[in-house]
Amino acid sequence: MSHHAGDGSAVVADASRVALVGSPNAGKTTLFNALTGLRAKTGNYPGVTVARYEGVASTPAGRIVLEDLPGTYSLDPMSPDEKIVCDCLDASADRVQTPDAVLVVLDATSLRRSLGLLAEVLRRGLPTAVVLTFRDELTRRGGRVDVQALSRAVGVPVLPVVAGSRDELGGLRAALADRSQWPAPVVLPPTDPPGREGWVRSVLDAARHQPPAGDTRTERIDAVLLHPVWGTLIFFATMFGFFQVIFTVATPLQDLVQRLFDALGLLASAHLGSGWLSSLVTDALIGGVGSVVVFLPQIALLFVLIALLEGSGYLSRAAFLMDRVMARAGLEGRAFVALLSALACAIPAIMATRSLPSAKDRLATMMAAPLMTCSARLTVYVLLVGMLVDGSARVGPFGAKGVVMFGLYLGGAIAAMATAWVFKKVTGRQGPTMPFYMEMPSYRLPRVRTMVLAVWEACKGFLAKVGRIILVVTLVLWLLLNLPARSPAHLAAAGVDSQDRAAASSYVLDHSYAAAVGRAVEPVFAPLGFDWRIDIGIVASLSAREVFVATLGQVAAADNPDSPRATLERMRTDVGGHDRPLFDAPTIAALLTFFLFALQCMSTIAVMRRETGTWRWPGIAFGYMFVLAWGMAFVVHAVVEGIVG
Amino acid sequence: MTTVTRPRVRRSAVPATPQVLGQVLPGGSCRVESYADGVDQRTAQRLRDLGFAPGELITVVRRAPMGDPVLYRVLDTVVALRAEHTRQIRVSTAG
Repeated sequence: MSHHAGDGSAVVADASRVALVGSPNAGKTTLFNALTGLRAKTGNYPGVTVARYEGVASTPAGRIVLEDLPGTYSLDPMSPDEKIVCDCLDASADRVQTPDAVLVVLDATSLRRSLGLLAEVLRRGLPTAVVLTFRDELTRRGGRVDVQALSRAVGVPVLPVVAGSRDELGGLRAALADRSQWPAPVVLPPTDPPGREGWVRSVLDAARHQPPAGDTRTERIDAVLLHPVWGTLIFFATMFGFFQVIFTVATPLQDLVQRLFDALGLLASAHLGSGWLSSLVTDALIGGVGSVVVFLPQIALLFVLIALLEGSGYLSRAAFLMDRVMARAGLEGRAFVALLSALACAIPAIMATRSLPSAKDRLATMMAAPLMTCSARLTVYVLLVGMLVDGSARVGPFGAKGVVMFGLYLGGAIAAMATAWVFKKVTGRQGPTMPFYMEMPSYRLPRVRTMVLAVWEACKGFLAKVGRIILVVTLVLWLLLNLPARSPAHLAAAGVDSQDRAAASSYVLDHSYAAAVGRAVEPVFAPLGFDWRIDIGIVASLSAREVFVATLGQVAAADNPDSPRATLERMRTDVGGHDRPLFDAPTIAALLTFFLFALQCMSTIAVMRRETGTWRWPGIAFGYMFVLAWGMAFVVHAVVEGIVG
Repeated sequence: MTTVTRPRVRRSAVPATPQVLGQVLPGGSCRVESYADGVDQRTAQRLRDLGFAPGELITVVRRAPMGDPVLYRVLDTVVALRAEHTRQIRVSTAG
């Protein structure tokens, strides 16, 4: 769930390297962002830093490379993340480059625990300094620590920071510049657990440490939010509100984007006339890209909400409340967070599984995540549900569209849980099991900057995807849909009036290369009520689900570029021997079901390959999801046909 | 499923002096004595890292609505543990 800006590859090669080490939630990532200026999203969920991130920090003595290591409780690794930290600080392990110095980030409110980690790091013998965070929270909770005395006791510099204070950051930059002041401590802490505990006690005594009282503010909020009745109600209300906001608040913004692209299209066709170039620019470029960009407001809102839940600390509570339910599927509460972020996109969700200490849980969650309704499916759902359900229809006090949408989201979630359960069964009892534990951070006000950056990252990623994959695919599709070109003579020979633009383009489409592809796969999907035009969309959507919308838009635009949606609703087919509207209720329902289950996303497959290190798991995921999608779509088609007659 | 039998601690079943952490009621405190025999080494190590180490004082904060997991205050932090692990932590009444 942690989003650092940039990919960290463009770092200075010969600069010295400083690694950030600390417990989950100690404020490491916030500090990293503040120092590097590389913008990154920080969260309040323990284990938020799940991958390795590097950034360049400027100091008075030049630039250095900062590395934000995953959060860890000790240098006795259990999870893949912790192994990275351990290897990084081990000069003899050449898997990960050893830094020139280490900055240990300690949460001032949990010194009694985190000093143990410092003791382990000090024994590695690297130049070390300590950054003390959340001292304001320590004071608020009636605790106290003498920073100078703490520094003398541990034998290395201790630099206090309050997130956001520029003066203290300046001091930190100066300290980073002059690392000769970071001596290795004269006396190393003991290695044995009782000895280390004695060391921690003596350090705290010397620093006149007064531990903080319980966080009464957090306790009062938890008394409500984790209450058996109110807590559960608030949880479901939060999840329901989540979707209502995404669908209701986004609509006017989406209309705005749509109008912008409509205006662009009109402008283009006014200047380009009515030739093939005009069709390429207006239908393929502006129409295809516009039909996807229109979902930008929804994606932005989704990330605002997730960042809000994460930054406030509620996401950890949600994981706590959901742990027992997740245990039913053989998972743990933290997997809930990964699955929740799969609502935005399966890719960050699969990456977020790195915070799961158990490898088996990781795999099961990875297999389940692509079934959660991602924002790309949303684009397909909005189009299809709009055709299936009348906009003014209501179910009780709620709009019928929203209810169908909720059902689709619920279906995806249930399928994901069932999948996780099956995969946990299959991977079975081999290998060690990890203990379950989860830290509850104090409630904190989410930082506006963090949220803005999360949204910016998400939108940038989405637009980049549109720019790369979707633009290319829509162009290729336009070519396939419009070639081979037909001369007026050819059209006349086929009995088509070349002056009738709609009839001519309809003829070209029916005899295009794309039609050949669609017809080739038609037998596979005919039992679901799909004809070759829908099949083109499905084949094209293998690249990314949003492409389905763009493809149907192009198919429709070939008939009537002014109102693709109306054209789609008027389209007819004779699959199965009798003439019927192509998009009748059983077919739309089957299509929705197919998209609910199928893994139509190259990026997800690629990320799964990267995370598991083998083609086996993405292969299995694609296979079972396709079979599930086809089978369930077949059943739904039959059932809806039975209902509507 | 990881657990077949889930130790639901009913109030009536709580002994006068709790033997393991899982038996301590919300609001109560206790001190960690040792780990149960046969506890998994990795589990013991992680419990120690989190502060559930022999000698430490633990306060039970609250249970999840469905009874499990439970929140504990330990070393000035709040940590959730499942019953499958808290029944492996032997405790004595805080003194």
